[in-house]
Amino acid sequence: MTPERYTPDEFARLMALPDGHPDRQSAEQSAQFRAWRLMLREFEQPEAALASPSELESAAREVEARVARALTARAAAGAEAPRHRTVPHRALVASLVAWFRRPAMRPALAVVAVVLVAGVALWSSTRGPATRAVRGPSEASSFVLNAPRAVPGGIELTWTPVPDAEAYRVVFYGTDLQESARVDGLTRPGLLLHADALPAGLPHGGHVMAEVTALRHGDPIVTSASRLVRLP
Amino acid sequence: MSKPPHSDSASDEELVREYQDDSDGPRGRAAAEALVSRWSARAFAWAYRVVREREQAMDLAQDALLQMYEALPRYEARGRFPAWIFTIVHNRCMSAVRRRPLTRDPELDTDELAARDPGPDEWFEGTEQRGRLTEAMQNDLDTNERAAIWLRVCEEMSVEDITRLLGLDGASGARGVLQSARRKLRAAMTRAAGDA
Repeated sequence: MTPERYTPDEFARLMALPDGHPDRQSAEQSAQFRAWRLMLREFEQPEAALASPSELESAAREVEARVARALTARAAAGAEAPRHRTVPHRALVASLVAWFRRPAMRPALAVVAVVLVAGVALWSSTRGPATRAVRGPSEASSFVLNAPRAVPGGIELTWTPVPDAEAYRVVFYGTDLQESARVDGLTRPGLLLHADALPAGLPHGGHVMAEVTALRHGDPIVTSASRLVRLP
Repeated sequence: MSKPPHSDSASDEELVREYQDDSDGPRGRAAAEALVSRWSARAFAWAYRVVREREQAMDLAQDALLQMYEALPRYEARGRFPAWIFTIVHNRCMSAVRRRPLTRDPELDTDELAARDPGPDEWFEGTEQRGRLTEAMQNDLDTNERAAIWLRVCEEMSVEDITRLLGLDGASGARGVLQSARRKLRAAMTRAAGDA
């Protein structure tokens, strides 16, 4: 289930409106707004979340220190980032999408979909039971997405190799915290991002959060902490 | 972290303005750091509430605060800042929870609300069903029931947390409200299916 969520600007605007404002009155009728208003009240009282105030204080200071370190690293990476370039592949992708959306393509796409579903079902039935591993603290902390390295024409993301991994997946999140793009099926612990061939959905020169997941039989073994990345 | 002058007494909006006026300079950076410092406990506490695991909560709080930092240049002062940062933190937490299906909802097996099918969670899946459910929530539930169902189904909140949030002090707490809401929604959905 994926309910639509408020954006930060939208919820902040609604909360700033006086009670009598039509938009606020309309929002008050919705279950989501009332639920979020209650959650916000709870959010503003952090002491209730943990039994010990000192534990909360020490965790907060640790978070603050991590953010400071990340910002310092970002500043260093930003200084090395290459300049923007044009994106010829975007137009090609857009024209391909438009071509596939033509009504005449629908029967063919339906056949392709049936074949794909049948293929996946067959594959699933012949495949042994998945050994799903859950991220443990020690494993997770040793699996690190490194700071991006500038290379000619772009940047390179690298991460700690995981011995049992068969593939890696890198997922990028935009400033709205929604997924912007993902790159699947990587067999080596690295990903080159060239300025002239960025995955669709990634903004040139923008900042995104990236995280990498190691996979075995298609199941996640471990996921790295997110890292802020400035795109070429 | 170094703090800008008067950072303790400055409002959130004043700190944002200071950052926006000097985003590449030391004053701007100090203002942003003051905001991070001011909101780090709340961000961590909320993340901890959602994931119940200290290390992951710190990761999520860090991500959310970095996200805040990134979004500061576009922040518009017409909104309420705590609501703005809360949305960033909560959305980040919920996207992490959704990608962790094995530990997503430890109460699911024992909670009567989610034990039977079809339930509100399934009803949210299809566009048509979702429309009917939204209408039924609006017409058939009172404000507490609406909020309780939303918190449980869409925000994946525990029954205990919902009880506290709604300020319920009865013996059954939110469980009673949720069961009543579920019964009403089931009846409304059955009616709607019969009419169709």
